[in-house]
Amino acid sequence: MKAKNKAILVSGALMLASAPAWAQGGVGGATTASAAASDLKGFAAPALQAPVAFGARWGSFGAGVYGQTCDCNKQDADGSLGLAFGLGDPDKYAALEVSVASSSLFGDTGSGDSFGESGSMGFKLHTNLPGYASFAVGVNGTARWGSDGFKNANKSSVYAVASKMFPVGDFATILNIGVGDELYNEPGKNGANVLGSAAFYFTQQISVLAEYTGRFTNAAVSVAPFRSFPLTVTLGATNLGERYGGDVEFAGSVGVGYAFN
Amino acid sequence: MNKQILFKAALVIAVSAASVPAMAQSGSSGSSGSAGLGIDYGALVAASGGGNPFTALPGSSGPGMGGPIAGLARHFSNRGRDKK
Repeated sequence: MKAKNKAILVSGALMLASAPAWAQGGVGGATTASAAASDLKGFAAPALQAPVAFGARWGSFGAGVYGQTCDCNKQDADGSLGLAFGLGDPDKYAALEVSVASSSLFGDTGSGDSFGESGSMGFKLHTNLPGYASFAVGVNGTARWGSDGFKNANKSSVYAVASKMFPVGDFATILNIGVGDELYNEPGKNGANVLGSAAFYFTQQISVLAEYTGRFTNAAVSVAPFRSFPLTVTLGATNLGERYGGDVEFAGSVGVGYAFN
Repeated sequence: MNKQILFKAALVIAVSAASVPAMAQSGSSGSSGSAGLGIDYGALVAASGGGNPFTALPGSSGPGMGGPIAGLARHFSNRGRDKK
């Protein structure tokens, strides 16, 4: 019954979110001929949890919230809230994306932290390469604050990843592959593991994606409801393999961006 | 342009080489509450280019190489123009 309720929730949310995207997206030729690439601001996401090789640059900011069901606390759900900004230009040399997240939004009986009491930072150095490709190295979960339980259980995770866009006829895909440790590796194992994601874009505003984080296999649908406003909604399921004794869980994220140049 | 590409290639190689020993020395995550599920770091992805691709678009400095998201924008923009 729990799984059925999750499925209904996901289906309903996606139908609501995707309606304006289909209306504006131009699958049926609704895209105006005069629309310049620079006017396009609504982009579906290429990943849910896996890091990708591109990010914020100087002049761009992002805010996002992530939530997921889990058997991890009394609320059976938890989430995090994040902000990101960029320094530098990945087209010229490289850019550094700096992000900060407040974790345990819904409470966490394991670490004892609740809303705003724990969090961490992420840094990603990324550069663009010819052929709509990019490369990045980064760390998530560094500079942690909160209880000792939180800090000890959430180790910083280093990753290196490459991403590339491929046209597929009228459609497109973004493939992403890399390596990472800690959160991107099996629990209890040293060293690094492979991670990756594949997102298929029906339009720039609608994508379906599958990813392997080095620990979990996830799948999601992402929608940018508005063509000219940078809002991205991604809903999906995590731990499809029901690994480590866990269940398949419902997950979602919402991101919004801003740029002043 | 060649200088920039050489710089980028050097960056990729240097970072890849430097990250290998760092990864090899890392320890393991414990399990406490939602730790290890990716929830605590999920917003780092949601706020950044992964969950918020608009932030990766080229700015006013010019189109440049653009990366995967600029590629998406150009691909679908051209497709719309072709269909018209």
